[in-house]
Amino acid sequence: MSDVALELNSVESGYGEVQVLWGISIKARAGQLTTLIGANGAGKTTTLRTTMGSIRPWRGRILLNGDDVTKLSPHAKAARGLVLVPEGRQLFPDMSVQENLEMGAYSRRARARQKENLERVYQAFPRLKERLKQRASTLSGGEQQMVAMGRGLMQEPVVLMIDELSLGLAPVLAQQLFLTLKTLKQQGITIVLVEQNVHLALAVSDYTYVFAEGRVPIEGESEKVARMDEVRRAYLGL
Amino acid sequence: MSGILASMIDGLLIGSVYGLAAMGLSLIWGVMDVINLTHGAMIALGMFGMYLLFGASAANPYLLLIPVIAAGLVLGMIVYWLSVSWVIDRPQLMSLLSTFAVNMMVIGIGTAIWSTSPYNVNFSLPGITVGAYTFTGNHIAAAISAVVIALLLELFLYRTRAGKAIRAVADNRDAAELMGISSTQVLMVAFAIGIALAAASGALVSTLFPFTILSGASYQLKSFVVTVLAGLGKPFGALVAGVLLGLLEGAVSPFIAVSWIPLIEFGLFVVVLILFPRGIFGRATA
Repeated sequence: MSDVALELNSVESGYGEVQVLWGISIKARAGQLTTLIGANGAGKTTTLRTTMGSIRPWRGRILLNGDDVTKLSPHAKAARGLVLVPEGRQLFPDMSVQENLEMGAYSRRARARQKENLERVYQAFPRLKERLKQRASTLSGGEQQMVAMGRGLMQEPVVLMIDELSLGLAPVLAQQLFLTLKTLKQQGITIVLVEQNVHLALAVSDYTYVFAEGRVPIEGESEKVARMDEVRRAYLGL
Repeated sequence: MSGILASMIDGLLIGSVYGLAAMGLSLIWGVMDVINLTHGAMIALGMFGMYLLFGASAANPYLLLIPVIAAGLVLGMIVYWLSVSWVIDRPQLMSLLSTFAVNMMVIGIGTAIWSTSPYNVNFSLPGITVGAYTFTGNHIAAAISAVVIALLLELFLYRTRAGKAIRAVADNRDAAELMGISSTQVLMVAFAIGIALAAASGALVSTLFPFTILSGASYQLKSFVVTVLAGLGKPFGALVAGVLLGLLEGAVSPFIAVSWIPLIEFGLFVVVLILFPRGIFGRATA
């Protein structure tokens, strides 16, 4: 038994004829926060979507807690606790906030812990408690991101993958969400984060992969990556 | 004056059956963006299903709705795998063609078995007489059955886990997959329910009027009108819009020949499409 919760081994994939990922190898250690950074179009989102199975991997292997899940469909992976909070939130717009959260607890293993997880969501995002009956599409952007995160937590994640946590959010709210991530990590959830705010990403994460053109040329403990000259120049503007 | 009122009440009763039929069409559209052209054929099969079951058992037809619905669910799953599952993410023309093909096959086989001569379900419940007018018991029972089935569907969609999964898939199929919902399974179930609703409405119609294997077509057209009135993909709105359509028919039928009614209905269809492209109950924004 390894302490690696999620492992991608030389994964290649793309859209139609266009290859985007050229051999991605990543390990997300259990209970750690791993972050993926890099320019737009470098393949971060594609990596998460391929991991989830929304895009079929062309080559390579994906292991969840040591089990090969490469060929499973997204719903089968979700039922095993691989959770993606997708880019653009992807809520159920015509359903209420409460129903959106309920749908998170759809799978059998998530339903077993629905009550506890709902408490956890309310604790992290007290504001949602006042919005339960409201249709998701009527919420503000920040509130929608909270619902998306909350729904992810309701899924009882083993590995929680988050695509663009802070995109389009007020800085205060982004800070608050990052604090929430820290708490979740302390609760033992493995987190994989794609984040365009590189400062924040490097500050909160344990390990960082730097993407460029569908490959991962740089990786390392976040503290070390943050001190690398090429990273400072390219991504931190220093 | 009271003649119009009586005619409108009767229209209201029949309209709830139109509404039930349209709910099936609307549900399938809303969940999977498929315009189900087997709809009319399934309504006709519901009529003949009721005819056969009633012939075999002589039970109360309104109780026989239960086996009709069960058979409709099974048939719906078969039709889904045969004609819809292959084309679900393809352009809409593909599912139009494939469901139309099934429609033609069912009508063809039905014509071979039953010819196109009329049949009827020989059963009548005592009516209710108010003044000079009698409302037939069958019309009342059919309307009550339609409303009960519609309410059960509404409860299912809004109160059960499986029903909410259907709404989730209708709302955002990719996100539903991320929640662990097997969208292919949900699509099949939703399609089966849509077919079962069509069959149930056909079975109800068979207790009201004589029918042939071709009768489904006119109810399919009415279903389109009702669905557009309600706004595509709004099942419960479809019931209300069906009742409205029935009321309209009831209100005009004392004054004009029956053959003019489709003209009025489709005139309404066009007007609604122009004035309320999202339907009367549609929302201003998606």
